[in-house]
Amino acid sequence: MSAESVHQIAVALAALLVLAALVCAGIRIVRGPGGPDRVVALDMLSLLGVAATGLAVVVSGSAAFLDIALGVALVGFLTTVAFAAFIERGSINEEER
Amino acid sequence: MLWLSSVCLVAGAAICLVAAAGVLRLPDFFMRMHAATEAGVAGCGLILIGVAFAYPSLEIWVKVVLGVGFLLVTTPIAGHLLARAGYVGGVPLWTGTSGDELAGALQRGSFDQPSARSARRPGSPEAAPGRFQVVLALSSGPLGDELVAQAIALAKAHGGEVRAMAIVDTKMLANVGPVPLGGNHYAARLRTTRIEEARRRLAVSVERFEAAVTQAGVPYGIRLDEGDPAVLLRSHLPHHGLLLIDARHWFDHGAGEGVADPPNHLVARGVYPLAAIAARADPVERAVLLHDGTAHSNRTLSWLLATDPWPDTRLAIRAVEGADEAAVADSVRRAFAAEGREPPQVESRQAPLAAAVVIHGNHRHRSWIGTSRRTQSDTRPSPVVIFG
Repeated sequence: MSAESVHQIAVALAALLVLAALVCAGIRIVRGPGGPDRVVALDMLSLLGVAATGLAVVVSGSAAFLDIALGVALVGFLTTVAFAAFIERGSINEEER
Repeated sequence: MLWLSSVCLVAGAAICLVAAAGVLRLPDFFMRMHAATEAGVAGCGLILIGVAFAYPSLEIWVKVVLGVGFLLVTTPIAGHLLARAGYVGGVPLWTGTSGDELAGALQRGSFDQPSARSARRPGSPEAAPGRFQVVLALSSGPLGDELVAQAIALAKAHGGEVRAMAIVDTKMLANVGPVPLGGNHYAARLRTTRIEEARRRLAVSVERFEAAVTQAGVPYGIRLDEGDPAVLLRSHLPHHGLLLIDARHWFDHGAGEGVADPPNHLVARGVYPLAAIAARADPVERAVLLHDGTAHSNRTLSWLLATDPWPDTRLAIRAVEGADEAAVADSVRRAFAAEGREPPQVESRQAPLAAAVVIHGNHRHRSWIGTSRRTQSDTRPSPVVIFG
């Protein structure tokens, strides 16, 4: 088997694994039970977004997706930091304080 | 190069899946966070490196190195921030946690599980002092009548009504354990007989409850539910009032395996404050609040002062072992002053704990029941124990 066909199978397999991981993180977001648990799942989701965008580079052959991966990683980090500040205050809803 | 790329991509994706499975399956916030950050960064990094191997050019390598470097720097920071925020915010630890190294090093708040939070907020100004409501989880154990009597006494003292919840834990009863090959038919039959048996016993308790409240002349309501008791009770916690449960009997009504310690089981799953009834307590002359000096104990105290389940009862405060007595006395004084009441003295630990009602204001979920057992070993068990 040539390296190209093995690579194609590997990319497909990796995409399936990332898809399964996305589903797991999504279930955790739906289930909760608390806000902090959902924030962790969201953090995981953004990391998986980076992985999926990385795979998109290989599938499409366009290097522009790498810049998108960097952008997703940056936004994910900022989101997590912002949510962490909310958790530290004990509530995400401002009026509940 | 393509071979290396294939290996990196699949390995990275597999690590991502393991991390996501951890986020889904691990039991508490901190463990999930550990899975998300630790394995997430390795998985993403490997996938990005795999991409660089597939298109080896300087431009791509620079971007990939930048990306991986960024992930390596930010993910630990994000993870650390989340963990710290969760701990300071008071996200509950897993009930099986064996030690809390940060206890005393960081001030811990009390973060309720949102599902419980929206239903009930003890001590907060939004919990408007409305009509006192007694919610009673019907039990068909030998204590069932005591439970009803206590609920009626509370409702009479406040001129309120009694809401009864008749729950069958179909989740437990339907779980008949591993079924051998060809045993499906018998397993299904066992399930239906168990659930029907529980329903029959519950129907008897509902009749007895109706007879008792009608005789006492107290307005009442009954709600029948089947499913997970913790979820059902959590969504029906009274805003202003008290949830009464049987301290020994679970909602399988004797038809299933039961739960060794129902109050502990429910509290660990976010159903609190609740009062566990273990014996007849009539009249209630003395109530003792065990204060551990934390914010959660303060919240329980102000909830108790605002609700005041037994209006004519003397409330005593006692600091638990290891709590700072001066701090406890200070916060007790402030809580009573906020209600415009005269604060009682903080009792010494040596005095016998002869009280009809014991209220635990401890926020460490794991030690609630342990503390109650330790304090009760020297005296007869208290009939009513409230976990707040």
